Amino acid sequence: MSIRLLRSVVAVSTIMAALLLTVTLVRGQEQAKAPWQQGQTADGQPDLQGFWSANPSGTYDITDPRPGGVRLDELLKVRAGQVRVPKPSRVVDPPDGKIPYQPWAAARQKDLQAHVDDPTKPEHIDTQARCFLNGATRGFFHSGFEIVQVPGYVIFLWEQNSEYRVIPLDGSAHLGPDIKLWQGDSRGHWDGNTLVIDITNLNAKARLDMVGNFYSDKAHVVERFTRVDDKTIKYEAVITDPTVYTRPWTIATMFGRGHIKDANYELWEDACHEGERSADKMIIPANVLKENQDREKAITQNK
Amino acid sequence: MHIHPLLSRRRMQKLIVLLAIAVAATFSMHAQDAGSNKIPRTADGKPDLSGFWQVLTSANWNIQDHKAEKGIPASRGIVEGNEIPYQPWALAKRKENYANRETADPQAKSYLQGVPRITYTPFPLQIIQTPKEVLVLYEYVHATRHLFTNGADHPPGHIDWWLGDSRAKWEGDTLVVDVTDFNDQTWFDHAGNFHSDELHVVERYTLTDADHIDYEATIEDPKVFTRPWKVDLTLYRHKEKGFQLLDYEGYGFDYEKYYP
Repeated sequence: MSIRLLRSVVAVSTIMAALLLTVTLVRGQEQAKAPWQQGQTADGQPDLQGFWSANPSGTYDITDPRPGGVRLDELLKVRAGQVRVPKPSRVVDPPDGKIPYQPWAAARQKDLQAHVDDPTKPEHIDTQARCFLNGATRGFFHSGFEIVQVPGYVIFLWEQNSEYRVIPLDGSAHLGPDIKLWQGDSRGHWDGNTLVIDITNLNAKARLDMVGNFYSDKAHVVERFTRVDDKTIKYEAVITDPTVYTRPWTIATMFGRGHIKDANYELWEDACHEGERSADKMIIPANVLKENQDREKAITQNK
Repeated sequence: MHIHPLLSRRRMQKLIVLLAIAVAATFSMHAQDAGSNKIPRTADGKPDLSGFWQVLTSANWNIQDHKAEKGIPASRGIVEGNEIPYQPWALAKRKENYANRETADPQAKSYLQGVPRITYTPFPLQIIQTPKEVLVLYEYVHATRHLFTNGADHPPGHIDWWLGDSRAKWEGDTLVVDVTDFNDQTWFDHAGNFHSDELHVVERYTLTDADHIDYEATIEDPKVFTRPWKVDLTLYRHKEKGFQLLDYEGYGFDYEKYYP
């Protein structure tokens, strides 16, 4: 190639590169300024799809969100003088963050909580430990989940225990009261860009968390999902059960989006029940219970 | 032989042609009826398997021809040729399974039923078809299968899964699903037909019309069988208004009394 031609090529290339750089910079600025806009599914639903998890996560206690503690680990921390700073209760109404139980129900929950680590009866063992389904709300706190939307349905999927909830959007009526379901019966509709899910027909055998917070099969739960930006969904659930609580109360939390860069992230099999060997073995005979309690006292007091 | 003038050869020929046309017209009308029951398709032109389905066969109890037993209807089998080509050691094992079936059948523990038995476990299933997968939700112990159509291959194996790992693609109007990565814990039916962890299943789902899926599964297991073999059955669409999956939490029934 002649020098003249080479010079021309270099000149043109430089100009083109400069132009490209300018365009890219300008575009980049425009994108940085563009506000987030919620997409729509093919049938016009506001788009909630993706992989989500609660922040904070943890199914131990909805009034004290954290994962189920490993008992010895926690005891050792106490011995070392470490103080755990609790996160705010998921219960936002009543404002004190406590579940408004009727007196009999409060007593029952306290008893269940006292036996979380020292179960002596089958009912002391958390339903999740038996690989039972999570019922209302709990599924959103213990692990990540996926939201899939197709015409007429919103579907929640969990890898853990391959749990699912199918929410029809056709406006049909709930099942009759004689059918009780582990996940309850969900009916959904869109209120602007908020997905409202109405749950009845719960068999109430699932619990709200590990420490025995519970509802009855008269419970009526209304959930609301609102996507506030690309990576956040605001979640709220109002729980009404006049046989257990003194008034309706509200859970609220945020879900954060995961696996954003991995469009092909997959949910795989989780065979919970098939691997479950120990739930009933957790029941402690009375003499062993005494030994355990003495030992734990020794650990926490031995400085 | 004297033939009446009205039935002359020429006339007979014309009559036969007219009859043939009439018959052809009738058939094409029926074909049009079948056409009006044509298969639903997604926006990208693929057959849409979405909906609620269930089998009518009693293969769950015995995949081969069987007579009635208490609680079990008689049925022709779903096995092509009605023969399962066991290796000699495996045939003996199957007989042992059969003898112990009331306790040894993994269905007695409400375990995940494996493939293809989860298809013909007698409970409804819901298919939800999305661009990246055909999602199958089973009412039986909330089993779930993701038949990935995203082009991704099986993960590096071997993985011991109850329902295997499923990778699917369309061949014409048939969804072909390659299923590997099984454990050896499931049976094909209550009669003790079984497999090893080298099981490999290829499923074929074909909508024959809007309300029927022809389901075929080719079963291969070099540890247990002398050659591959096939099962074939029909999935029927649930037409009841407002149909939905309920639940069957088999391993929960004995514990329900403790909760709430």
